[in-house]
Amino acid sequence: MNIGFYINSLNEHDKLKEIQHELEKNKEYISNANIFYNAIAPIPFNVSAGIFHVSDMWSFEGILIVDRIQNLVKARNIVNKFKCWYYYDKANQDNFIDILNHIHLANKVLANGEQMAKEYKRLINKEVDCIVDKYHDISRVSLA
Amino acid sequence: MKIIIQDYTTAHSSESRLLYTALQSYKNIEAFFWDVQQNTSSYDLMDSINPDFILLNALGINKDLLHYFTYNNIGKIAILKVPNGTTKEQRQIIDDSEFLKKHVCLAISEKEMKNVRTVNLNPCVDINIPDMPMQDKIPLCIVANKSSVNPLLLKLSESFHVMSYEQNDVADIFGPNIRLCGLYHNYDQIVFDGIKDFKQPFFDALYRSNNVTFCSDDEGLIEKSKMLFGQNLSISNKDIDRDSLLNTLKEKHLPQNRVKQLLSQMPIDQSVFTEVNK
Repeated sequence: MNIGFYINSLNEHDKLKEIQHELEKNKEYISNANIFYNAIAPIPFNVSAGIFHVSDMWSFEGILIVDRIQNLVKARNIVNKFKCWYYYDKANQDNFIDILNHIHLANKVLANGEQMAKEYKRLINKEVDCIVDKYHDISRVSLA
Repeated sequence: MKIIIQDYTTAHSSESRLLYTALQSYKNIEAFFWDVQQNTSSYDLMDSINPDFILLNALGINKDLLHYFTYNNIGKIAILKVPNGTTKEQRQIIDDSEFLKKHVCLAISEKEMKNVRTVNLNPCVDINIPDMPMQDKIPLCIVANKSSVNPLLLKLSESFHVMSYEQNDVADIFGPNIRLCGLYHNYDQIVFDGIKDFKQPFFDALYRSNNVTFCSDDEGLIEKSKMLFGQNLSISNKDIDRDSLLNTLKEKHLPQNRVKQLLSQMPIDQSVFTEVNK
């Protein structure tokens, strides 16, 4: 499968480490992995994925995991053959009004852990499709 | 008649704006809104409009305005808004001020002023704030007055938002009522937690949502609710008549009602304003 991760900045190192861990763990399921960003920053470790600015997203095909609602809107404006999954985590400080108004753009909604799933239900009045802890086995969600 | 209204919008109230809009519906009144954030020169404003009355925030009178009033021999044309929550000492200073004695014809204050005629304008619905629709309705909104929420309210629904007019730890969203008011219609139920009085947000919520109640330790609030709205709007009352409530709001608590009250106390020819509006 082709999988992409759209993050706000390459300085989100903890998030990148979790993604890298996932890519290593499930490499037999992943044929191609890409990370897209809005803001560039140095990465002090190796990542087994292509790293591109969001302006290069047009050529991507597969499943794109987006963790900010504004980035989901941005990604949806790019005409292409990818599906967008919104990965909810309160730490990303998405405004719940933005989530309520744009969540229909996501093909699937995932939550970062049980607590975030409950929080999502509380704020949006909908259940998430799947719970994934810190990107752990996120690439297997489509297989489930 | 020309009247300037200085903006005194607060987190809970948009009284200056709703009075301005309601005054515009009178064909013989020219209302001007003075947005203090635009840094308009007081001199230019007064010279260009030459108002018959000017509604001023008692805590927002600047040196230029004082100077203009003093050196242009301006009479008693000021209507002074004494903000709610003003301390006794602040009120005393306002009451004893030269400005009040020489230039103020009427005060808008929740408490009586000693040296000037006073009118107490209760809060009312601001009908001018547009709704902000959300894709889906949410079952419950809790309006928190402090940094905690009554735990019993959290059990009312699995899905809810906590709103506040000031920043605090429990609020999912905070901001002045003028910004949050547009969201009220998106909730099936709104509960004002721990309130001590009915401020404008309560009126705005009542007008926009079908189920608005309060939860408070203050027992006097039930009586006040009956007096203002004709019903006990406490969360414990399950027999609230929504239609009758809406009628009461439309009859008594719209900006037009407050403007009529204000005009009736102003030193003007009252017959001019008893005619039908535009």
